[in-house]
Amino acid sequence: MEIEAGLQRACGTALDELMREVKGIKAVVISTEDGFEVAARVENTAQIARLSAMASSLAALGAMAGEESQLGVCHSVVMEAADGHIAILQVRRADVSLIVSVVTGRDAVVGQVLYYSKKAAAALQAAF
Amino acid sequence: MAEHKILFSGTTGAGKTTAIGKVSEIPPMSTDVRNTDSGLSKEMTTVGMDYGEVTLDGGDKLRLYGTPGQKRFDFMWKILSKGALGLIILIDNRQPDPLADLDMYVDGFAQLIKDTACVVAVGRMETHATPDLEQFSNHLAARGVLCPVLAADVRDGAQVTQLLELLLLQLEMKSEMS
Repeated sequence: MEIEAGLQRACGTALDELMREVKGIKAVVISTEDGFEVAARVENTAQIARLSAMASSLAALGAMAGEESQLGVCHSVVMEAADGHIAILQVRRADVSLIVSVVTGRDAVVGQVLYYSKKAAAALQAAF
Repeated sequence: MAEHKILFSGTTGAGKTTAIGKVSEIPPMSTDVRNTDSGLSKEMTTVGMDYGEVTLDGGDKLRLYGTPGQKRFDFMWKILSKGALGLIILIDNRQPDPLADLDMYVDGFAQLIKDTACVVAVGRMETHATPDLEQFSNHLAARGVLCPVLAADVRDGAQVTQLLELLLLQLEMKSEMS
């Protein structure tokens, strides 16, 4: 699927802001909800396709769990691992829904990661 | 009564979500999202899993899981394979190379097929007759995989039930032989 140039630029801007504002980020990927990469900032490019697909599955499973538990719409999924965190956020748009995935090391502050990730998601939701 | 986990996998668009939805006694859970892959002529695609339940005549319950079809989601194949009692592979014969599609799932689920039982169901044979069932069987046999191959329209719940019964029969035979 072709992503509109304006949205593509907004994705780049959102990624740059996340990388600039949040300490300890290892990778940020923005992908379509069915798991195709749109934009990314990460050193290991082989990781991007895999992370895009996994984020797609996890976001969908989070949405299903939220609905089944009658908790409403799932906005984000946060995972804590031994050496860091992964935050996955949904961006719901009329033209294409996106997923923002942020992978951080232990040195990142989860609250700060979530704050700026949500800010990026909101910017992408409003972008045109 | 016992509960068993059965897995549906196979070609994207072959009808895994439909098959589970047709026989499930509970509202099926699905993780379908909008498809953005122009190579696939479908509006929605499964990216996590499908889930449904069906109770057999004897009271045993089958928990039905559907996997995403695309290779890029093969991590879900591994996750969902854990604890599965058997596998039903759905192949869409409209695709350019259905035998290569079958190979992808036979490779992806090699351990599960070896440890449990498998049934291959080929869809859309009424409009796309080749490869025929014998070609599918010979292809599997050449790879050392012995499992029944049959034509099926999973939009028909009765045919999905037949696939499940055939899979369970395969499992019984396998356990008797071992």
